Amino acid sequence: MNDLARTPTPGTAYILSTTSLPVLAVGVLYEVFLGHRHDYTGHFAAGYGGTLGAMMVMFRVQSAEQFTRSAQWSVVLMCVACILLGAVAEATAFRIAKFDEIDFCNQSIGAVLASMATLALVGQTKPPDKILDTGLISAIAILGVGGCFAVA
Amino acid sequence: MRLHKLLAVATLFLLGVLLAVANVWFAAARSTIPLRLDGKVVAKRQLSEKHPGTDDVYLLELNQQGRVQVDKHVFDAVKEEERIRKESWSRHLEHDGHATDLEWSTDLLGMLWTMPGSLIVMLVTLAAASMKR
Repeated sequence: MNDLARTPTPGTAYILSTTSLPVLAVGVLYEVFLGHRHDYTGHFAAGYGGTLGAMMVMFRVQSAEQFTRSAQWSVVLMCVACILLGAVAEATAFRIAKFDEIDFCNQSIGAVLASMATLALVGQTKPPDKILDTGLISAIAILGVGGCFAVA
Repeated sequence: MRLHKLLAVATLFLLGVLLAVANVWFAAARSTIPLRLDGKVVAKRQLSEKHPGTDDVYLLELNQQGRVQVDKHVFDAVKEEERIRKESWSRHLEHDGHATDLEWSTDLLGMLWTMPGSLIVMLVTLAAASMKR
């Protein structure tokens, strides 16, 4: 049996559960134990949604050969890039009183968790574009929810 | 392929642990309990964030150590021009003959549950990602 035969193509239910269950689980933890600070939940979810969206776009533009060769390391590099981009955003556009280290950590934890969830899509074959588009829509929805919590 | 995926998994988990520990540290440091402080308060500043009264930023400017972000009860306890002093991990802050008992913030107590819980979710996510596809 060759590698292609061993790697099933993920379906819509798979991508939705893979992308939404981790953020839901940790989001509930934030709300239960840090419920007095909804903005912490918001930063976490926004970091998750933004990074997940970036991963889906990255996979969409990668060729099947590039995906098979280096998808796992491109996930790690994109994760680091998203964390750095978040630091720049926190230091500039979202800097109200000062650079908030805790906001930065929360959004970066979201970025790392989204990267971990994305690894579930990494295998011998590139997921179909339809699946990546579903992941991107899911990411935009999570980013929107994060934005609502951040300003709530 | 499998080895590369495992290395990527390990790298991401290490990043997650670092960020979770940093989150707990920053929340703890604002109580000043882990910090050694010694100096004169040259200025106090309360800055508003997105939700005034909920996420305000409290800053003490010390003549020797520079700017320190603190929790509200620490900010309220000290006055400008006072000399403050404490040892690392001491729960007593001395300021001009007074002593104030320090407490961990609600933020830190929440972080102590949320961060380990987040790491467990990360482990489960990684285990699932490693097994699938």
